[in-house]
Amino acid sequence: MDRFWACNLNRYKDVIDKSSHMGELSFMLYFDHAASSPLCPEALKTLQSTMERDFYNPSAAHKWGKELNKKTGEIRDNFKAALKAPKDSRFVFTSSASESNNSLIKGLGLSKEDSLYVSFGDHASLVKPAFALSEEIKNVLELPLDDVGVPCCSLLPSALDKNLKLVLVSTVNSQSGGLLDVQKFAAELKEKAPWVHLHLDAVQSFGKYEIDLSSGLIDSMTVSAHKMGGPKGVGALWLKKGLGLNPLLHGGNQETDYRSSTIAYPLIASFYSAFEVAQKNYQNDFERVLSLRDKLVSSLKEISSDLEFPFDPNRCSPYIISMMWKGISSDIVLRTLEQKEVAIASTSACSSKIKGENPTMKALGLPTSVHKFVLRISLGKMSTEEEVDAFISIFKEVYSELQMFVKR
Amino acid sequence: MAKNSILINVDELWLKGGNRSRLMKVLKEHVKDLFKAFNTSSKFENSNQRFLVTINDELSEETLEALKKVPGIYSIIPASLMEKDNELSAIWPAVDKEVESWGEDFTTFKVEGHRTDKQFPKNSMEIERLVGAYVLKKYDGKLKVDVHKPKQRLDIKVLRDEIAVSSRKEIAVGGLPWGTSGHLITMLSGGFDSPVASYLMSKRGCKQSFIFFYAYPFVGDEVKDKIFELTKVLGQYQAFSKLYIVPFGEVQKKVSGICEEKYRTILFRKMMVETSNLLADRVRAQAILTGDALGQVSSQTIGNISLIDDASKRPIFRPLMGMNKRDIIKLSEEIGTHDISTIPHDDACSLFAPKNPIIKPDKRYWHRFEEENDLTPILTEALDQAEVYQVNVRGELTKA
Repeated sequence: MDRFWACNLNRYKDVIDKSSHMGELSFMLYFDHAASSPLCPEALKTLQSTMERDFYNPSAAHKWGKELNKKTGEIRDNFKAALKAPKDSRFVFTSSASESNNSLIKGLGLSKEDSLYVSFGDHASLVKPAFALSEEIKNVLELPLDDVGVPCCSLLPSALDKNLKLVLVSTVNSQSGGLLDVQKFAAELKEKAPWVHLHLDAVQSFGKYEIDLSSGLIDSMTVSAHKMGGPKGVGALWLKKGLGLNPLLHGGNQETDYRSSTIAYPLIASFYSAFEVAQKNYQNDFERVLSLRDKLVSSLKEISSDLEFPFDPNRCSPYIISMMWKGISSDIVLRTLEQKEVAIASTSACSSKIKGENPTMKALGLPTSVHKFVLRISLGKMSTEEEVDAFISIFKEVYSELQMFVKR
Repeated sequence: MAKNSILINVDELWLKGGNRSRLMKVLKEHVKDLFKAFNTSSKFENSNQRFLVTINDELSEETLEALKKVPGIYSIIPASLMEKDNELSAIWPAVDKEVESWGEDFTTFKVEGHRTDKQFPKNSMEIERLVGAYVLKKYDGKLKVDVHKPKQRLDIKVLRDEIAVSSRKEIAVGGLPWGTSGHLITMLSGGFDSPVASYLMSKRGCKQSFIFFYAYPFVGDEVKDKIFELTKVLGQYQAFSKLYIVPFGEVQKKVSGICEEKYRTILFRKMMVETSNLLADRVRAQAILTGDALGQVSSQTIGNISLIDDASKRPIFRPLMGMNKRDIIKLSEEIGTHDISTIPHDDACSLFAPKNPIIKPDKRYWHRFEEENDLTPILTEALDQAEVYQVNVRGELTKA
């Protein structure tokens, strides 16, 4: 039995499908990893042991507290080393990617002459804080995207204004899966505007792609634990050396004043355990997931030409597949799959209540008339070929069951 | 010492001759339960057309609003019961309290005196004169008497043991007491119509069991939440009721697979009415209630309505039959269901809606379909799997 089922057997016992579509594979099929992944066994083990044992406050003056403070520092350094980031840069632990993005965008202290660029197709934790600044700064500008939802430097004006202070981009778009060539984008941008702060949201690629911060072209970066096998409730904000930030949280001056809050050592340790596992297997995992993705896409295409892939999979992260089934609302497909114990997403999990026009999909270039037909199927490092086979066979059933409701 | 009391006047019971005492008893039980639900201890005294209820605390607005929704009550008068003395001197604190509740602005008033105790030495006219003089003297300049169109009416009732002082009268929903005209299965949807139909039949004294056909996976939880909210409002016009959420997606899928597309909607309608009858068998209800209004949608044409009537063992009540949409919407605003009904949700009807729904159904096809497909077993199974909730007089919903 593979790793995923071995570690999840007990936890998924209560969702076992009694009618059993797939014989022995009668567990839930999870294809919503882009929303959140299950804890990997190593991270779970660390979380358990540190929660039990390492309850001290790392800021305490006694030796037990100091010990945890030291360990936190080591983990911080290890993260930086793995990212090839200079030792004197900062790796600030936060509660989530949303907090990291908010801290950066609101903390830079942009003034009323300044402008920033953000992709309107990006996660709300980039777009909304950017718009929250629109009263205080001169312009919130829309970053031009290509046809897979990736920011395009060549579409920016050739001469960029000196007042352009901040550019916000994601390495992987969480809806389309569109993959940004970070180094190329950073180099092109910095050539046009070396004074600009480039912030990277790496949530959908962290632990999946190798990230290299050594070039010095990237100024800050957001990461999160729970999309790569770590626990929910911990993320980080990496900051280039010498970067000042007005903190969101004031208090006990933890994280060298960047973020006051009791340091959540067990979450941080578990986060690092998940990262260590991921780091060892980058290449293997990537190739395996890529072949799973290719199998999934080609099998779905075989089911029917009605199943369309609006974003060229070859230019997207293999972990995210955006699929469109025109004529039937994605909510209905989601719930029909849910009845068969299969989890996917209809729009990004945070905004699935929005009906009709979806601003993210609009920015990704999809006409409003098809927004409600878009499904997101996302894979994780623990996804297996058996799961993909089971998914395809269940999707075939769903496809024929729902045929009579498809509006043409 | 003042006592807090409420005079509750009943509505149509004077029409009822021989049945009256039974109906009074039912209404009294409903009101008693309501006070209990609001943690107010109450003591009842019957008099002819009304109850006199003494409570230990002052009547809260919340309880008053709930009382206004009790079918069978015509009006509610919160009053202070004062000691009875021939000079009326004991009632002045209660009179002050009423006058002060009228606010600071200049206003006009009239005193209305009544005696049920004819032995009381002062007659109505004398009572009115005495109280009027007291008020004018004490609140000099703020008030003026207007016997024709007063803004406030100060009511002084001399009862057997006490004198009741009041100036506020709230009109309630009226009609007949809960459960005295039978038990209905109310087919609820998330729209404007069925909640209004339910309200109208609550006023006619019908106990109701609510049924909702949940088309999961074609619709999601939002619709269920909406039904919960509607039931919480409608339950306040009942003494106690139950809600049955019947899983219906599989039935709809099955029927869609075996019928001509244009008959889909009307056949779903039939399945729903049949399931409602199955529920009626179980809970001993006597009729089905729907929010149909003639011609509103294709399933509400005379031809389709008569097919549906044929499919029902019990009479189907359609109190909105002759109402225009805007009248229905206006009523929904008054009873508090409007804002819930407007919450957007996935609509299974539009998903299943045929391109050209049948308006003049072919009876031969219909009867052949009925003969060839006995769907009672799957409808029974769906009903067996229903989630059941109960809602109390305060509109609190819990799993049954």
